[in-house]
Amino acid sequence: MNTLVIGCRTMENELTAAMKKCRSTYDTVWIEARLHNIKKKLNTTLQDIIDTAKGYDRLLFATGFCGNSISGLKAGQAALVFPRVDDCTSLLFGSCQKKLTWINSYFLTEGWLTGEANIWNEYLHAVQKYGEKRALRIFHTMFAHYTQVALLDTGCYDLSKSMEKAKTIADAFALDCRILPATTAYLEALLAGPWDPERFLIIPPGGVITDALLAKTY
Amino acid sequence: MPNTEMLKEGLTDAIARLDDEKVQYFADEMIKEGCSSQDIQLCLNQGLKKVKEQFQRGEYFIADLIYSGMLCHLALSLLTDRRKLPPGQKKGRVLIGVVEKDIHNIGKDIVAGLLSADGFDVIDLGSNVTPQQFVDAIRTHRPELVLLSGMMHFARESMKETVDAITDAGLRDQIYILLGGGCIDTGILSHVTADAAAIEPIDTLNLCNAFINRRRQ
Repeated sequence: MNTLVIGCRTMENELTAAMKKCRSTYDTVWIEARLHNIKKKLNTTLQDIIDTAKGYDRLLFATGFCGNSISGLKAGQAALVFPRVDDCTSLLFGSCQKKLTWINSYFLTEGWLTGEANIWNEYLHAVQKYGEKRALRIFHTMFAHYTQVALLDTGCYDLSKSMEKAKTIADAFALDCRILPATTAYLEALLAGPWDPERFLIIPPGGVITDALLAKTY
Repeated sequence: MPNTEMLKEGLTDAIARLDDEKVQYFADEMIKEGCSSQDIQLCLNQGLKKVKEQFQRGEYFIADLIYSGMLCHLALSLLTDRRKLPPGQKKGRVLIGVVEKDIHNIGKDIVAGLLSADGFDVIDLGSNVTPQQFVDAIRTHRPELVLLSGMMHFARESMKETVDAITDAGLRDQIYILLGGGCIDTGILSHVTADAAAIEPIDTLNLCNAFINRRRQ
């Protein structure tokens, strides 16, 4: 079976580590982190990848449902496999339920901190555009219902270096800062198969992802 | 171009350009000119749509989206201050909240501001509101409309659970239920038995007015 893996740059460290652990040599296509914010663009980008992935029997998506942006995707000749999670943070926690116990947390990994559209760059952009006082007001609104910044320890990057950045962010917006344990186990299960339908959404060749199929998460 | 048309264009453009001073100026002038709150809200909404388009093209950032919401609040607070209705003259009571397992409240705040400015009595339950908290609040405040807001994937399921809890409590027939927020799509009403759903704030406002009018007939 020819398999293609589709990974998001935000989880490049974790997916690379999982592939190494699984001794996976699958071809990999990366999508840019900023697409996370733009549902329609993410949807069309993923459909383009599906449409141009010739010669593969199976496409493994190392992503979540990403705000239901995968709704409407149509499989071509290859089957599609998605972890049944709302987004990549649940994927790194191992399940949505585990993530939801930390609902008041703003999650970070090195991938989120170094991406072009990371939250600190956003803040610096706002300071430049609106001045520090107004930028702080905007970000206090943005973080109004968060109580802490949580750095996910996936074991795939230098934690101390990222912790320094996470602390800077937390301090700037008057939030607590902590490390939470995370895992690449879900990614490994995706790469290794077989795919338990409880944990993975499997779309056969020619199938379409409907909203109803996205109702159930793990 | 008549003066009011210029003012409308100015307010829409000021929101789109995220210019706080001009938002304040044009909103103020429109109120002085006697423009309806609906007119002002339409301009704000058109401006917000332009901001959203620029965000989707990568020209604006998330901070800009939030700032555009803050500018709408600014314009609406001017309107609310000048045209405050006494409690007896309010259009109707609305209960609004972000459903359980979700804390994204910016859209909810914009809608709450629009409704207040348009003369509704708004009870805001905040975010991560459980189905039981909605049920209790309906019993306490006796609203005519209940607005469920959500952004995250889980919000869809929480909306369903909330509507089910309201139905189980025997309160469903007394109220209209509207859904809104980033988790809304065209298929939501086949999953959640609400009366209506809307993505844009102005559409939510229009629906609230339509339901209130229907009730008054």
